Amino acid sequence: MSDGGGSSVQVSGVSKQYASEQGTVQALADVTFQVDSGELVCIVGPSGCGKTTLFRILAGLEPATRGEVTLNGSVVTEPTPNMGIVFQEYHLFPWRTVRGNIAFGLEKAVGLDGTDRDQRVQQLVDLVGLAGFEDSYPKSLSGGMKQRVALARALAIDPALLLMDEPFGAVDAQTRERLQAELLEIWQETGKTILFVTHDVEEAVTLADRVVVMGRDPGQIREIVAVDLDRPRSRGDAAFGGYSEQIRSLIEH
Amino acid sequence: MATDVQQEHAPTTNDGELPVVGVDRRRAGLGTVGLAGFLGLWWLAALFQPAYVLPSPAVVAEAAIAEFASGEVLIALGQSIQHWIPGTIIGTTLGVAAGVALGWSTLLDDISSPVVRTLRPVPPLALIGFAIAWFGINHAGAAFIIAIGAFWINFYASYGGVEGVSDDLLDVARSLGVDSDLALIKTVVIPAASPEIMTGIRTGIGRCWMLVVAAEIFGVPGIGRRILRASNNLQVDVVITYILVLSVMFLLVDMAYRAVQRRVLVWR
Repeated sequence: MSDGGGSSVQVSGVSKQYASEQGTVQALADVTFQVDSGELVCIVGPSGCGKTTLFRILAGLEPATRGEVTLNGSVVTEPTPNMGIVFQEYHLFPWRTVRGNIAFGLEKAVGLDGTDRDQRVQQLVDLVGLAGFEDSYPKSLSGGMKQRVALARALAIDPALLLMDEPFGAVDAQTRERLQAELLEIWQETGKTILFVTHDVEEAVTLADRVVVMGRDPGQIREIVAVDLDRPRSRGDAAFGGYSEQIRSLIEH
Repeated sequence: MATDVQQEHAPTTNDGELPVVGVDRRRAGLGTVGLAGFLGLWWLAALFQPAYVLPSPAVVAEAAIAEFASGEVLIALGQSIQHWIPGTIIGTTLGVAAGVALGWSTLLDDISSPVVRTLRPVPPLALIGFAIAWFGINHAGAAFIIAIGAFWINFYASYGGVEGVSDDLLDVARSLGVDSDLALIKTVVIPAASPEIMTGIRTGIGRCWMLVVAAEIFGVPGIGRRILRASNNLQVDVVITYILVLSVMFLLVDMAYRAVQRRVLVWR
């Protein structure tokens, strides 16, 4: 199924139209880009540029009006375990503990017996730094901890692609920076392909190999910017500031 | 009594809230004042009425002691339980199952909607004829009436609970490899709807105690039958005795159920 490393995503001519009271709304117009195996790509754009719609189409949660998304050559039409999804609002299963949430996708996996599964869950708990909280319920966790659980849960099924929709948008600034650093570590450790949606330009420049910059009316790609900076990246750098400026001016025009 | 139980259970609810003893004492004190006031008013009112209109608490206590001493209370209770338990269990199980199925499947919901809407307003008592014709004047007939009452409460509670399950949780489960409806219902829908389902079960259990009286109206022996017979003989003290027996049974079962509910829903 998965090669343990990454995969490639191809988005070809994806458009989305909605019928509304004001007539037809063009949410996305002819969006085309690709993500290479093991690459970390951010999609950045202002609110209303259709990036959440694009996320839902990528995840197979919504059909495109035209165009298609393929993951390793097969067309995505519905949510698939080849793709781990992380939402801004976590969407943890509140009736399950941290351990139970992470184990969710492993419970029906074939070829994993109880001990292997427990080991895998414990590895993930350690990977996202939640040792000691295995038996806590989501209600007693902070936003940052919840998002770590959601990330571990998505990684548990060893997906080819990790798809994240503004995952750090609901936590405070300090937690966000820590989570960004942790995500980069996990990305380097696992070699996953990551597609990360955000409205935060600095977040995109901190994380991405390439940034897909979107504009609105209709939602479309303005430009794809390769961020050629060594990691870890510092916001104080002149080059970092240059990329941020470039992306910001692309969004505004 | 209820306050004692709350104190006993509060530390185990695991939500970090310690019981505030002062507040509990205050509540217990106020409750005692209220109860004493009620008994006082009852007693006062009973002074001016003949016993067949309103017996005094003392007269009721005497009747209660006599009914317990003769073993009548336990016999009646044993009889009622023989249709209360199967009626409640069968009605609850079918109600939850139907509520989950119709709440989940739009197709099933659309097919059954006219039938459901026709049957819903029928009071269980109106079905006594069917109870007699299908089951006879026995525990099965009474259990049928009780089950009807439990069914609708649990049906609507579960239906509402399932309708309220977030689509996002279902999306997450699908992306984690849960692909069949049955597996989604088991792993997401029922746990997510469990607070509503469990509240429905609790309401249903209480309603079934009330229905015990109605279900025995056509001659099945039990507490309800005693109440009806004593009413016909104008033995109001005996009527009140059995009403109190029903109240105490309801309270005990409800308390036990709440303890279970708290344990099942610790995650809330």
